[in-house]
Amino acid sequence: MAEGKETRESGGKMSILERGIFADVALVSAHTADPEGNLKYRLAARNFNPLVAMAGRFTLAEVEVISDNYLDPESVMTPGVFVQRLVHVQNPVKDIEHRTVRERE
Amino acid sequence: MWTREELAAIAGSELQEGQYINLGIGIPTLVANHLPAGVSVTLHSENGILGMGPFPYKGEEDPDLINAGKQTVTLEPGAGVFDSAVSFAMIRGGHINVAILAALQVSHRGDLANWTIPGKRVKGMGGAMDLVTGIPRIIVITDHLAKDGTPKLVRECDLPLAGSQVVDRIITDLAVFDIGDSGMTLERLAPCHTVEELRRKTEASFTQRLEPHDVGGE
Repeated sequence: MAEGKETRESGGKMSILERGIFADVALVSAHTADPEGNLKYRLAARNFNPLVAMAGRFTLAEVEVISDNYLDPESVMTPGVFVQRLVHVQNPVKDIEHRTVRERE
Repeated sequence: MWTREELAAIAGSELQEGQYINLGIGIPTLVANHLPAGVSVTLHSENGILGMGPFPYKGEEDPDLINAGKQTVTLEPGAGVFDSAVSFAMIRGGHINVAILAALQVSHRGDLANWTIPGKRVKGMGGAMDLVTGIPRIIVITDHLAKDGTPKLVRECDLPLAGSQVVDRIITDLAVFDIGDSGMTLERLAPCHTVEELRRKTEASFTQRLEPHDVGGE
C-alpha cells in the first residue's frame, strides 16, 4: 500500500500522504434531482455517491425522479454545482447482491 | 468446538450498554443476532449507517438499505444514514467503541491480516485499515485453522497487514485469547479440547492463565 508514496511525520506519527482523487468523468446514482441539479440520495445508497460527485470535473448523475419543484434547501445532499448532466431512469432494476431475511416469529 | 453461532454469542457477551459497535463482514455479522439481553448497543456499518437493525422480514428487503457486506438490513428507531466520509470520521475520530472483525491471520503481537491474499482478486482493503487504527477495542472472530488446515494464529503474518499491534481479543472455534503487552494469553478453551491440542494448532506462542475447571474435557 505504501510503495512509492510520500510519507510524512505528523504529531510524532509516520503517515502516508494520499492526495484527493480527481476524475475526468464521475458517474453517480441518486434518487431525486431538481431543476438546479441538486441531488438527494436514498438510505444507504448515499455511501460514496456525494464524494464521487465532488471528485468529477464532469459529473453525470443517474436519478429515479426529476422533480419539477426545487428540493428543500436543507435536504440537498449534493449541491447542483457539482452536477453537469442528469440521466432520468424511471423504475430502475436494482439487484440485491446478498438477500438476507429473517423469518416472522 | 464452538459453532459459529456460539462464537458470535461469546463476542456478543463482551459488549456493554451504550456502546457503538462496528461488525465486520462474515461471522461478525452474526453478533447482531446474539446481543446480550437487556444490553442496548448501537450498530455501525461503514457504508453509512448508524443504528443498523436486523435482517428484514421476507418481502421487505430494500435494495437501497444494505450493510457493508451488501446484505439487506433494517434501521432501528433513531438511526442515521450518511456518506462514507462521515462514516469514517466516526471511525477515525474514535467515536465507535468496538469493532468485531474476521481475520486471515493474527500474530501473537496482535498484527492483523484480514483483507487480501496476494494474487487473489479482491475489491480492495475496504475500511480495514481505518477500523483497526481508529477503534480502541478490536475483537477478532475466526476459525482457528485456515481451510487448508494451517494455523491462523501465527508468529508473524505473511499476508498483507491491515494494522500492527491492533487486536485486543481473539475468539476462535477452539479458544479465546487476550493480547496485551506481554503477548497472547489463553482465556478460555472450548469443551472437549486440551491445551496440548491447542498448542499443536497454534503457531503463535501463548501463556496460560486458566483455572483447571475452565479447561475442557468434560
